[in-house]
Amino acid sequence: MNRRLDPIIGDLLEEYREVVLPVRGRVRAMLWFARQLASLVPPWRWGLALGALVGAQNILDSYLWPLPHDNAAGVLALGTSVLVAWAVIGTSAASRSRRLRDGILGGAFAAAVSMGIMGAANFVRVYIVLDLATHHTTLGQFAGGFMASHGDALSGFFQQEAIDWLQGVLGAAGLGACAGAIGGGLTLRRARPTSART
Amino acid sequence: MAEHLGMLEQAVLLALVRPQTELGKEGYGRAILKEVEHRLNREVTAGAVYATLDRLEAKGMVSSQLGPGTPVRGGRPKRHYRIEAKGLRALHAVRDATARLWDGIRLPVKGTA
Repeated sequence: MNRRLDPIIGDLLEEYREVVLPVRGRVRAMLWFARQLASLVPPWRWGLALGALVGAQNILDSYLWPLPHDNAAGVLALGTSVLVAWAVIGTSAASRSRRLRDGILGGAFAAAVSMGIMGAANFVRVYIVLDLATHHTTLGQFAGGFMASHGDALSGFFQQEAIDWLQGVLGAAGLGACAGAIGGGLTLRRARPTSART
Repeated sequence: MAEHLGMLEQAVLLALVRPQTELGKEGYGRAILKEVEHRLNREVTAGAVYATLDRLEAKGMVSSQLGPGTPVRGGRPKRHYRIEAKGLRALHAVRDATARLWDGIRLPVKGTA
């Protein structure tokens, strides 16, 4: 265990066993413990973890089912869970500092980091399926996209894809900022005085 | 120029200077957290207080040392904190600045303005 973290975990265990568990019961006490542990992690690390998770899932999916058609329900579920995760990260950031600004920045930063990693994983995914796509209609679609772009060279088309990706990251940061603002705003509104809890 | 201290930094430093609760007098992480919650009269997450303590330690305003653990902590050590001269100077500077800011100001009775 990290030497820096050891005394902190000890403090949380002490509070959990002496105060929170007897007053709140096991389930709510576990939730309290999880919330305190989560508050120890800076928002950008949550963004990193989320991006790594979604990116890894993307690569694994591509490995198992290389050329699937997009499924609306799946895309909606993924998009919703990622937005909720950004809101939770914004909530965590706002509750750390009691500032809405930090909730917005936390959500935006987490979104930029997670979508950046997810986009990088997407490039890996394309590389994984490239050979398989040679004999698949996807290649035709890709070629169609290139032709429709009226570009002179395939490298230019790829660069445009990268620019689109960057714009996607910035757009995601904006969405993350909104999610963080909602999460942060909610957490600041429902802040309770200590006398109202345990 | 005096170093700027945020509200949470002030609450943490004041918790170390003059604790108002029995637990607060012990000066370790959990005790400081409870003391800060008592002073601010609101719930504060552990992450907020430990990040503040780390920041203050990096600035040289507080120092810490490990003490023995107890069974209820699963044998994990306690980290005891103490305020340093730089932290005291920063608190004095904040108090002086606030006093200058409010000097000569008389607010109307609350709710009648």
